Amino acid sequence: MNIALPTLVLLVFLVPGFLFRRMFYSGEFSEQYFKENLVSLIFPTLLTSIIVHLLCYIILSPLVLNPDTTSIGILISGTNNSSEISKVTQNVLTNYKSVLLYSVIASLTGAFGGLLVKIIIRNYKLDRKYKILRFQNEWHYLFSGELLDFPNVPGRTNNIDFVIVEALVSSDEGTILYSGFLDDYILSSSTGIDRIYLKDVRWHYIKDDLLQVNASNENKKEHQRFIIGDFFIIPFNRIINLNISYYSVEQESQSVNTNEI
Amino acid sequence: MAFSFNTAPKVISDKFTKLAKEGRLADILEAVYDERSNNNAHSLTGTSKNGAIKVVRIGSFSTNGK
Repeated sequence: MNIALPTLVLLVFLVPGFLFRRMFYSGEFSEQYFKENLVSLIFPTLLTSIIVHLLCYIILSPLVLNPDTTSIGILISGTNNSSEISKVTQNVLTNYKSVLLYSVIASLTGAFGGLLVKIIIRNYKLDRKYKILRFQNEWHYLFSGELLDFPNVPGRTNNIDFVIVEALVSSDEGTILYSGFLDDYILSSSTGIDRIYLKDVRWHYIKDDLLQVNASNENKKEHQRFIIGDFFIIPFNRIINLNISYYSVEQESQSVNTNEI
Repeated sequence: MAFSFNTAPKVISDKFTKLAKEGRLADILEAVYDERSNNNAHSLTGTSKNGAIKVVRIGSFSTNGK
């Protein structure tokens, strides 16, 4: 049995499925694509490939292109019949323009299909409503506050204007609590997140908190320190604990003006 | 619903960015720490010292970093 030819045909067959999934898990969700193992990658890819090819077959059959399913079947079957193989090869070479055009159309359908499905899911917030459509990287939902839109979670994401992160970080001198506005975060394929970017950061040693608790009111003093700079970056592997708070902000003068109007 | 090709989750709203550009970040921080300093667990609002900025805590979650 010839194995190389069916494998090659199968790989070409899977290209639209690969492109669909690559575009679906593109941009901010690309880390999920690379995190998957071979089994969980092949099965959905095969499934989406079949759907894309069926769609292309239905649409393109009545038009100029007429995919020769018998030839495809012979190629995948791995037959040893050299006359059949040479006949199919000859057929492919004769109609190479149609074969190439079909492959390009199927690949583009897969790529745009994946992107379109992702845009629809995100725009209509279907990933927040239905768990089955949710992207696996929970940090997006946590940091953006989109998890407030999950069923049975109070609050609405629309109201969030900014996020305050308090990060407990270990150091040789003791545990430090950093607090600031969340500005950005970088994902990692292994730990889910690589580092977080904070702005206007205050920090203090946790041991100072204990001293403050024990001190009398007269002896209490401000022990928080500011970090000057645009961004403060914390590597995620140093973080012990995170507290994430979502806030809405109102400019009082604006609301007064609105009421007056 | 505004349809957008950008599907990335937003962590900062346009309103916050506008206020930050106007130099109100210090006021916002004051309001946040005012909300934090309220020991009453039911008080979710904080106001800056000049009263120009009011913040409301919508939600809060804690997680370990691993």
